[in-house]
Amino acid sequence: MRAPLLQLTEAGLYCPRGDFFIDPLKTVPRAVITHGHSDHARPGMGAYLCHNDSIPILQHRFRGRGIFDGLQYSERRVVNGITLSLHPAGHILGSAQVRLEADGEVWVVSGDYKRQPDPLAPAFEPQQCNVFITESTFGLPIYQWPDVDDVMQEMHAWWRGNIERDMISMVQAYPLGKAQRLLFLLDRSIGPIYLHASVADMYMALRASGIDLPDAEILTAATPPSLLRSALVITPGMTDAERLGSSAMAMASGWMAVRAQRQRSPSGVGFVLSDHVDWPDLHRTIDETQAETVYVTHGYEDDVVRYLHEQGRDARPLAHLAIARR
Amino acid sequence: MHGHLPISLLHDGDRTMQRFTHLLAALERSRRPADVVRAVQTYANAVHDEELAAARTLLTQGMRKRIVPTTDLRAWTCDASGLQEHWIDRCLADVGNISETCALLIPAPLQHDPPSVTSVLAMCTAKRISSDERMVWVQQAWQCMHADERRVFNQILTGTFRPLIDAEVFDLAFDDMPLPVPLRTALPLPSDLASLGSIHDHVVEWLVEGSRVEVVMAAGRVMMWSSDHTIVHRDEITAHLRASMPSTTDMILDAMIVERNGGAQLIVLDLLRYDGVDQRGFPYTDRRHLLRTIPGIRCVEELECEAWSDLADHLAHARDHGHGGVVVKQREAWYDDEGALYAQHVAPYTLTAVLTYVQFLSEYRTPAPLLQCTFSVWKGAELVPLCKIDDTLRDDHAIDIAAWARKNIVDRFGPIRQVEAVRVFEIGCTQVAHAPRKKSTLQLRNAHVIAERADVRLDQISTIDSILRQL
Repeated sequence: MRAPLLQLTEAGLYCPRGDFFIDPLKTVPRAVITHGHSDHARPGMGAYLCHNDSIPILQHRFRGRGIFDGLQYSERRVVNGITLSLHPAGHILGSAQVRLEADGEVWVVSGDYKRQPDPLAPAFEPQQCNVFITESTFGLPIYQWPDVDDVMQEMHAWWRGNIERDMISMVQAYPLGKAQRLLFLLDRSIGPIYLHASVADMYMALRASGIDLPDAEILTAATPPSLLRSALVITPGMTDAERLGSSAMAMASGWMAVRAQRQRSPSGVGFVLSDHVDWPDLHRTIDETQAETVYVTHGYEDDVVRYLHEQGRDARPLAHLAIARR
Repeated sequence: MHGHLPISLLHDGDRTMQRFTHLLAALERSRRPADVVRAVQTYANAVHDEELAAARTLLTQGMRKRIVPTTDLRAWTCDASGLQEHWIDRCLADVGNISETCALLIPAPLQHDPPSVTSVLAMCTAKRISSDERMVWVQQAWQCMHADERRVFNQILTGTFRPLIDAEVFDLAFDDMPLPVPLRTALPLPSDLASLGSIHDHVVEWLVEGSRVEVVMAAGRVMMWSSDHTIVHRDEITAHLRASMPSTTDMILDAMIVERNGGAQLIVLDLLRYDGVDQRGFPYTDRRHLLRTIPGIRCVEELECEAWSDLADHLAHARDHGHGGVVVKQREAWYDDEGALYAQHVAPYTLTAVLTYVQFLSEYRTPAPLLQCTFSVWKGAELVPLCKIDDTLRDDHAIDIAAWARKNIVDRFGPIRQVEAVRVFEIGCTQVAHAPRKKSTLQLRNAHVIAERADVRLDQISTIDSILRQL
């Protein structure tokens, strides 16, 4: 029997024939990166291969240190007899699925992905494959995303309500991905949008690299609270909330779909906005790949595997790829 | 009257279940009376009177009658979602309650057209309706709602919709009663007292311990609000106020309810509104002067202080007078002036007690459990519950206790779990009062956990007698 195209090692997913890692956890000579979030792209690798749009993100995060090589979506690169290509994952700017092909066998690593539209990430393109490795951050049937327009309507109503109550609106969101998505989605006729320093940092870096982002104000220590009266501030956490005076805080995340999680978030207010697939889209995607074997990682592995077994599919938690090696 | 309800009653086109869900969300975000009034008014402007009345009933009385058993709810959810029943249990573990779990598992609506609250209540009270008809109605309704609306709908059907606010608070949206204003909190007294300036620019008073209330009197009515924005019902106090003041009184007081000698007494700390005029912008001396002209109320006692050094003396005697410390107020400051109010508590009482009961405040195993812990001390040869504490345990410690408690359950009393009496904690509190109706005969104020004391054996923890000796 031929060795599998990918193995799970201590340093992460490894392609022995191509001698490279995908989103490695430890320092390795060659890393293929699905996207720029810190739990997928770590500093210190010998060389990076990723989508062209991810390069400025990695360069910014690693302060320029590293050797970066970029691909367009669908562009093919042959590495030691393995044909590697990247395909849109729809998660954030530059996010990609990694497709590997050798001897007529195709493996696809999804990375993080979503099927909802995103202004900065081209729509997810399902790849037919023999083996599909999927994330499962929200791999329970309770996670079914509401319509983004409805969510934004709620968020706008909350923002307007805060203005009436003389409170600054603060929305907690990841500085990379969610923050930019919000910039496109928020209705500027309600009030000005401010970015907290660490959100602004990534915003400036993306702009400098030529990404077209909507205008936003930058929150600094010198910003007088009076200027913020009708503002919405995008922030990574609770920082600054007190200095700014009376403010209302909310979190934008898929976890906010469950009320108990909403109530336990620091603010108690949440909007269901996620950059990951929900349950229906997860299974739609698996169907579309027509994969014979599905490996599940990054979240509710056991639950997704169980459901796929109930559907008569060959599915395993990703950890099994490590065992298969012996 | 509501014999066979036509299914068409579901679709009355004004999406009021959605509006009701929005109202609930607003009430969950903030119970501040001003916010409640605004949310209720917004709702009232959008719906007709019948709908408003239905919402009032639900919000103030809840729905405790079970129309649909949860076994039906589960079965219908499996039907609608195509999932096997074990998925409901799996998801329940993450969500925490069955109404919401089922609501989240139903596929998204093809057409969003939620029913009215009136029609939902009518279905709940309908008499001649078969269970099949009810099933069809529920499943149809589910297909027209978003998950949040379905959760509320399921709560109503399963009789788990709890009352959220007092009818009196709801009705504030429609009358002229002044709303309570934010009460200020004291800063800790700085160690360098001279930094505050001259003692003669300040008033020194006892720190009164009790329940902080805001008393609003207007239109012949008296309402008392607690600091967490709920209405306090103490008839003996409100009756006394009504009896001693003219019905035209329009006034707001910052005050404390003190339990003494088996009765409750109101000690007034400040005057926020008088004769319909906001007093917060006037100097404290003026507010206090005005307060003293009002008949029938008792003000906090002012202490004589010629020098800052006199403060220590008063502090040393605070307990003898039944007070918890002293407060220092700037004479000329307006009410909300930051740095105009300082408080110093006398050293807290401490005692050691053993954890005996735990209540998981969330119904199921969820990522971060919230606990209420009951601590007990010896009364003779018996362990008696002394205090319940939940807030200060809301950190990693709580998770440790939760995990431990689950493995060491001795007995169950409803939602309460008795655990093995082995974990000893040091407890602090600001006041110990007599409470004849309690098994321990004592009531602790502001009880909090200081630390776990693994070095103290069960037979060495505090006893009722040792606590009384401290007083």
